[in-house]
Amino acid sequence: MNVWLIAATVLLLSLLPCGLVCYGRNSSPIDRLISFELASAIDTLVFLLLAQGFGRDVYFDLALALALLSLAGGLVFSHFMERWV
Amino acid sequence: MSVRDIVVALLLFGAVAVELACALALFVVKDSFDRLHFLGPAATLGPLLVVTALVVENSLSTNGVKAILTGGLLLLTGPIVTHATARAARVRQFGHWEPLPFEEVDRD
Amino acid sequence: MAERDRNTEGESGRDGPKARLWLTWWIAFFISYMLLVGAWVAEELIAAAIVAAVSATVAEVVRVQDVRRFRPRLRWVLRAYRLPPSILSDCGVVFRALWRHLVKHEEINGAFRAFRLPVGGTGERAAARRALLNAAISITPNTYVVGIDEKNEVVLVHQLVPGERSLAREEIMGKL
Repeated sequence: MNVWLIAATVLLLSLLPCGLVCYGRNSSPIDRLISFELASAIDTLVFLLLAQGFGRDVYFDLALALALLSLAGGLVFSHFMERWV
Repeated sequence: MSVRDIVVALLLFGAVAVELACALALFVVKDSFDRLHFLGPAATLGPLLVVTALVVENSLSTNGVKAILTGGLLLLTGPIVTHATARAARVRQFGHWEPLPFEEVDRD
Repeated sequence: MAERDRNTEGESGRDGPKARLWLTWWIAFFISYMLLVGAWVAEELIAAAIVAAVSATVAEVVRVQDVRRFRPRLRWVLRAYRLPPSILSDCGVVFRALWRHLVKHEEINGAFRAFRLPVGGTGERAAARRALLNAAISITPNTYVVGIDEKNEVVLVHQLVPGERSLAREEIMGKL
């Protein structure tokens, strides 16, 4: 266990409020989208921390890919929310 | 524990605190438009602290460069996603995003 | 970043320097590939050259297809140095608001503000100005842009901790 893995584990706790908002009965679709976008940013950081903590260089590429795909996903969902959903 | 380890630990502590605060805000703040503001620190300050910690640890090795690229992507894409979501939320609420008369600051 | 001059020029017709643009893309992709791979060996250099060539070609094809062009002025991009202090101070503002909400049970009353700004124009410079303005305002946590009406030249923003209503434009644009 090192400081990077500890940070990643604690950071994973911040996904709990995101999940509660996402699955909350009173949450609107926009609230769920916001929690999804926050969770994406947190997950990207978790990947970076896990990459350093485990010493696996390939996880850095995962974080980079997730950062790019989070943008695409967020924009696609926003676009659909605005017009069709 | 070296000075570098202490610096890294402090940076990571700050990053985790920022992200936890943003996630907590998502839960306690009720209005969607107010909630959106907390994507800002999560996509700017949090990644900045994590990337700084990684660069302190790895310097400008391949991993350090990848971390900088990832942090830079989060920093640049955060405002785009925030704007797109805000616009979608506004259109869903009012049918259009255009300002209402009482929102214009130039109006007396 | 709010320029007084209104750029209403149309498409600029840049068929001449296509090769230069393609080469610029190639260099950027080549460097990006080598930075990500980190191994300066012959095989990776050859792979980088091939991948960069394919990517540059795709980028040029996309650029030519794009209906709305984007051509910022360099001085607009260089003004980004003003953003980090604004981002940090705005992080303080939003976290202070969160703290007051949690501890003192003070309500968070975000507000929409719409103000006039010379953001009209149909050319690629005008489009670039609006995009960069949007990004520069939205990157600061206390404020984000909801929409920019280029026809009526109005910007609609939302602020978590709104300041004095009549000073909204100066407060937001002053950071840029």
